Amino acid sequence: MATQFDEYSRGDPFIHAADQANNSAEYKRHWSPYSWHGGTCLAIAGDDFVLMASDTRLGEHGGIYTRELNRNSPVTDHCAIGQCGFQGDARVLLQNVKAKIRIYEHQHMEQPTAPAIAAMLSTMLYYKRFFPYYVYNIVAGLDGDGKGSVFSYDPVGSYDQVPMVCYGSAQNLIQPFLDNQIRRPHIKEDAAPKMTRERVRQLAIDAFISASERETNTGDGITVTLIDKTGTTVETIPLRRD
Amino acid sequence: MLASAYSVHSGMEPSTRTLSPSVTGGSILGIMFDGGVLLAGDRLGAYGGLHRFRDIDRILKVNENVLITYTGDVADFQYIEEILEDEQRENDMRNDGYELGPSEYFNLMGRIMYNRRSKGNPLWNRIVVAGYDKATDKPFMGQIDSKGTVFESHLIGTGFGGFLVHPLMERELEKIEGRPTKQQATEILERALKVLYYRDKTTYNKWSIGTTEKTGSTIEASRELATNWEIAKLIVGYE
Repeated sequence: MATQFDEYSRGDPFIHAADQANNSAEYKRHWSPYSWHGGTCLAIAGDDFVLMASDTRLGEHGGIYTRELNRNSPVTDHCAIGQCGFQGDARVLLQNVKAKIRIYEHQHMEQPTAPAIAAMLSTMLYYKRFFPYYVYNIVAGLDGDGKGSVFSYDPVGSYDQVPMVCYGSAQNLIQPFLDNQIRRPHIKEDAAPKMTRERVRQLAIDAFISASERETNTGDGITVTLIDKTGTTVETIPLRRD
Repeated sequence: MLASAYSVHSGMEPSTRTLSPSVTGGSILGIMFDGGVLLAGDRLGAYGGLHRFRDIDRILKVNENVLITYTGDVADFQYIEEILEDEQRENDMRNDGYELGPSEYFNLMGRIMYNRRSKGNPLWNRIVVAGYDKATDKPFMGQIDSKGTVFESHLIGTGFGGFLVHPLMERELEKIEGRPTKQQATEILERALKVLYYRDKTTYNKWSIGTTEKTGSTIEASRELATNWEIAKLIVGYE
């Protein structure tokens, strides 16, 4: 009865498939095991660092459950995983990944590198190919040589190493902005500007500030995780709360 | 798209008998204060629009450090209650000096709800777990929904309460630096309950208020709010 917000996301251009299943007239007969919880996550690879940023709003159908959800977290000293989509699946998937990493550490007496974790996550996702985890994952960390690497996934485990990626409600706003400011494959004349930690951090923050102006599911705050060989630092930056 | 992938895998449609609740519990409000948590919910079991059961306990005291409450189907929560009581009884019998706290029950409930959802037979509830976590020496409050979505928060409002009074409570809390005191939280909660009763037709003016602190948990079983309906004649334009 009073357990769901309903009806008012029909005109939302950023609606996703699972959300439509929940809002349709068949909902009462055909309940969906998925929800879309909004949120946006991005990651950028530098030469010897990676930066991951995600917003902290958990919401459904235009309402907000909490303003302080952490969507990205370190899984080893040099690797973090960011997730958006259905938060129930995201939480369970992350717990399983962390458990497998712990087993790896016991067996190998060292932590897995980001590319190793990335390959493992792909198999874990494909294992549920016929009842997927509805999660868009990003793995960001240092590889065996200490270089920054970012891997992006679809919900069933297809993945690739990328220079930077953005997933989530605001991906259509932020991804083109990052393409323009960072690797710029579409601009032939100038070389891309030097990517320092400061520049990358400021780009990520600016991207979120702009996206939360226009995208209703994004806002409240950003969790920024910076990983390099000295370790991991996490900071929180406030965004607009409307 | 993904939902039909799920149906293909399970070889059957989701169990339709579980897709609508029968007797339901209404909104729950929760505020974390400095040293504990306050929970409130009315004592109504509604049968659709009918105020059928007007004096039910909706806040469960699991042990001295944990209160659990819910919105949604009453029968499903009564089933959950049995699981929780069994868990607590096992822990008491073990008697090894280790007490189950709110984090432990929160994780357990998260698992149960997610696994029921994954079988296509969800428990039709939104569960709120509140308590004092002795391990971290901090109050704890979190919510779990029928699909296994979990989060922790210092302020929770479920159902209509979430829609209507959660913003009201949040605005009041923003005026306070850090966490409110127990007195401040109580004032905010009582004001929120009054607004909820005035504006949500499915609430009933009998409330259970649960308090959990480092020293233990108590539930004030039944309280009626003093309301003033004189203001009703000032509301015009809805004829």
